[in-house]
Amino acid sequence: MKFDAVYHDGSTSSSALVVVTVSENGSVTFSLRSPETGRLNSSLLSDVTGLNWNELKVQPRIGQTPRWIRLPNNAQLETKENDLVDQIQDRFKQGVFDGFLHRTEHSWWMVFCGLLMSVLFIWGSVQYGLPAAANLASKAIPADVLNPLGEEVIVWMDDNLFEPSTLSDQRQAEIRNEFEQLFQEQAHYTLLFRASPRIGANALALPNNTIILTDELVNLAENDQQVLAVLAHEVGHIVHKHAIRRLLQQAGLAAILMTFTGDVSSVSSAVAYLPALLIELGYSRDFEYEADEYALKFMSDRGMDKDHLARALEVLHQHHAGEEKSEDSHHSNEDDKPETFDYLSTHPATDVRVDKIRNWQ
Amino acid sequence: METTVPVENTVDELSRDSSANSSQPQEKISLEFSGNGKEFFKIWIVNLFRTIVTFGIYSAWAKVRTNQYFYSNTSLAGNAFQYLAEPMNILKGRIVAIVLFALYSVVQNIYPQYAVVAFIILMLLIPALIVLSLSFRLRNTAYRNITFHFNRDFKKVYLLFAIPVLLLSTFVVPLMMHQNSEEVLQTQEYNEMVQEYVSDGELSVSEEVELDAFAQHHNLALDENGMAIMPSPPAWAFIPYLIMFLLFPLWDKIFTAFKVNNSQFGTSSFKFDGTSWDFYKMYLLFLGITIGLGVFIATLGVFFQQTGASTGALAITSGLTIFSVFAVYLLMFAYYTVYKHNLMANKTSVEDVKLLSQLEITGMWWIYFSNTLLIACTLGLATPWAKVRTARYKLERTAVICSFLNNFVAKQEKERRALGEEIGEAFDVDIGF
Repeated sequence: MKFDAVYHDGSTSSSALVVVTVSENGSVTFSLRSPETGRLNSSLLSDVTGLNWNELKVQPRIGQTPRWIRLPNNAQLETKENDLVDQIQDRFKQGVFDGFLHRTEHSWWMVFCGLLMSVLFIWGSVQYGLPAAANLASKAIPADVLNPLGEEVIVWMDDNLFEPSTLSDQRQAEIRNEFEQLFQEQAHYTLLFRASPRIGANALALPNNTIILTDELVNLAENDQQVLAVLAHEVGHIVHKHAIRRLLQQAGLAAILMTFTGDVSSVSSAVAYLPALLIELGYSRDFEYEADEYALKFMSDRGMDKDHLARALEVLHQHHAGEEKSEDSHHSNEDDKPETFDYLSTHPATDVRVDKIRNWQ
Repeated sequence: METTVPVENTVDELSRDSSANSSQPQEKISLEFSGNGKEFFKIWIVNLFRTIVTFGIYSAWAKVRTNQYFYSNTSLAGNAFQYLAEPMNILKGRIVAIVLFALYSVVQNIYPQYAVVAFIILMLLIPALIVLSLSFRLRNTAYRNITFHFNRDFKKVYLLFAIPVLLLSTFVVPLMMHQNSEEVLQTQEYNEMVQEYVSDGELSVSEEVELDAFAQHHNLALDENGMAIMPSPPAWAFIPYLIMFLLFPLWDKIFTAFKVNNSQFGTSSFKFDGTSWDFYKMYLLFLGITIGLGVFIATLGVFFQQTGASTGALAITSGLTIFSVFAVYLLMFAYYTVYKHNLMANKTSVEDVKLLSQLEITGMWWIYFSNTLLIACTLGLATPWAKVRTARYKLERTAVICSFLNNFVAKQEKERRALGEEIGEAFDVDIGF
């Protein structure tokens, strides 16, 4: 069997065109081809004689790229005759693994299986594996590990989002009393009152067992039961350790996406953010459902009407929807854009949530 | 270059026509790239699958096969480049890197008192990792059976990084002085008092009187919420940073020259003759473009928001704003990549072979832009096509100018492989070369 190759002796960058002949018993001879005329020269390569194909090291095949065959004297052949080389390899020796690599990379069937498995794996770990692992890990992590973070967040929000509460001392004490009575058998939660024209009616749970309630929410609620329902929802975030689970899931997601996109950085790392963002929003919505679930269970155990939570959500939704329209006219738009966007997508659609709550048993 | 090196008889015939012709006119030979997206997609997806089912162990083999695919599909004057790294070595390097990283996280989370020490050690390793990763990459690249090399000049690389770090650490002094000045400390004390009083309900009369007295005594300015305004540091405290900023192009030039001048093909060293002015020009233009595009985007954003608010199509116009921010971001990215790539290549030569790079900003931008959309729309499945397109664009606009390529001589002595080069590879410090 014969094939054309380029010979590089390994000591200089010059090259020679050769024809490689492999005989029946595997012995290999090289004859020179003239670069000008393309005719075969009678002279043989003198420094590589008496070789057997077994002594040559053949690089595994990759796609249609030229392949290298290393000779014992450190010289090298470069050839594009991949099929011929494969035939010779089959005949005299074949690294089982090497042939396997190319064949599987070549077959569309294998590609299909690979695609299916990869998608299944990524979907499975994003949908089930990661949240379950984060949940398990969060149980092993001490509860107070995120306390410093919570404290920093309060300072930052006080500087940027909040103003001191304008509720009267008496009103604050009233709500605090009701809250503490309801949650007295639980760990101690700190309830803070703040005014915030910027984020409007809202309640936030921080990882250091602190819940912040805005004046706007207290004033908007139709009764104190609704405020307590919202607070129960926030306690749900704390009890289920959503803050630390969110951190863990983000880290895991980054690791998975990095495996998937590999070194795509040359294209633009911005690409990876979009799926990551969508997945994280999904996680965020799951946390909301879980907190709703907690609040419902808590309320039904204490004989409270679960409709208070549903009603509170509806009132809040109307408030934010109305605010969006009126604010556009007089506010600098760049400021509130991310907030409305954020709110709408981190939380599930209100009507879905309300339906779920009303149908909860 | 010396031609006294003994050349094999048979090969001599071929090289004779070129060995005597150093006076021949120089000729431009472009790199050719023959990879295609479909073929690479198959390799990519199978690699991905195997990496997943082996819990990442196969990633070392995947890396080698991917690199081999791209190197072997790149040819110059009819001969392809070759990637030589052994997957086993890459795997070892990755394991060491993961262990190091795990140790670092453990120290950070369990012994926070040593976190700073661990961080400093990590930072101290970075220059060495840059050199090791360069060395690994070049030593595993061959053309016509002759390998590239990188001269591992650790002393120089540490010197290169030590100077800016030392400068930077002395620069912290004026800011520290400001942080500990009377005014700042008093402002902090006042705000802490306010926080404390507010946290237990409304201010009582006596508390208010106390706060007023404190503020007046120390001449504190208050904002509308009753908090004291933090005095900003004096302008001169920022002069050192300005100096750093002004010196950065110069440092970049020295660093680029370090990388190029320590690279070798066989026994021949690469030479970089870019000037400091080349780098200043690049960064000045970059700054100008950034400011120009910033103004453009701001105007566009305001325009979109106003039309959006008046027509009620705010969602659409906000989308358009985000879209143009993204397009402009990629434009700046393309500008930097293209300019730096061209500058680096066009000022580099090895013996009498000159490199030539003719990337264009608009062309590169279009590649980045369309690739990003493509990848986003296919949820990542178009990644192989994107990589092939990018490689093709860059490589086919790169060429060498030379009269002949036959006279390079391989390094004869068996070079000792430096311990830890694989670790450098694992961190994959980018070299942009």
